Amino acid sequence: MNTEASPPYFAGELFLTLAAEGRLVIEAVRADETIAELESTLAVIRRRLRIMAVWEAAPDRRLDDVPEEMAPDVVQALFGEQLAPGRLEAAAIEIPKYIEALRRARRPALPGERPEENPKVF
Amino acid sequence: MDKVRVALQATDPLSRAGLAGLLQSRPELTLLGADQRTVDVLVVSVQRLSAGAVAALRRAATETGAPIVLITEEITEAELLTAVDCRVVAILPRAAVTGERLAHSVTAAAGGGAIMPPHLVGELLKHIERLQRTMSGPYSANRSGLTAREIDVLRLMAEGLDTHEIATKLCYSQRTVKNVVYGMTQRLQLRNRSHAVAYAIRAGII
Repeated sequence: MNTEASPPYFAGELFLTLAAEGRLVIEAVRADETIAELESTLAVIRRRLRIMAVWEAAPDRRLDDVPEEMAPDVVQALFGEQLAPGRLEAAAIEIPKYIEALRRARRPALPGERPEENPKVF
Repeated sequence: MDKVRVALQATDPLSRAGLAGLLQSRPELTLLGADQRTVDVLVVSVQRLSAGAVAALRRAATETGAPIVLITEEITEAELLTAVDCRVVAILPRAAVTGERLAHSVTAAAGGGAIMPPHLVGELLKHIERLQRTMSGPYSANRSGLTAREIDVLRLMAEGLDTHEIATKLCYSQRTVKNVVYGMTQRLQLRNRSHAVAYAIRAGII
């Protein structure tokens, strides 16, 4: 599959629909791993959003005034927002949908069942 | 065992004829007319998932309610998600279609109904992995929103080269270099060249 130059593309509603219709079924172990990773990503996004809110409210926005350990996060958050305005806010809304969809699509492995392999489509 | 009832839609006559031949040669399948509504599986062949092709897929999915096996030249991540939304449960690259593979996809689609097979679920999980990498990692050169040409120019600007020197080094005209810099600074709302270089360094792009 061609993923070159693909922009971040949110499809939380689609995943919710697929799970609700029973079309998306994911083996429990894999679903749990992906949910954990998504929750970790969501925590990073919320942290960056908090940083941006603090930065926006700061009377004198000087990177030199930011604690050294936080400076990289400030740059990441602000630069990311310049490159793709609104992307962090969208992710904070969309990622919980993915998490909920995976919870609904989660299916315990049947006795004797091995994890599925996923051959490439393209 | 009952034969799987299949309808075929193809955008070009050659594909239609070739795929019809493959489907008709399989004893486990029955090929019905494209206008049939009571089918187990719909096979759709399109060169690319254009807007028209997506509209046709949506219409077919609504009218038949059957799972769709899609044959296409190439598919992007966004197109894959659109296809899945249209009840596509298997995607075959056109160049790799054989009677055996097509029959396998069709019978699997009929057996599983609209439940997506593992390989398609795997592609959807890859979409989630890419999304996570994009959203949680640092902004790096290949997903910074900058083109390779812009990054080349930024690197040389950071080394202190002027427009003429950058143009000579990259074999561009000076006008091209100016256009690259102008486009980049406008798009990223950067005030000047120094601002652009500072951001690129801080963000780890150069």
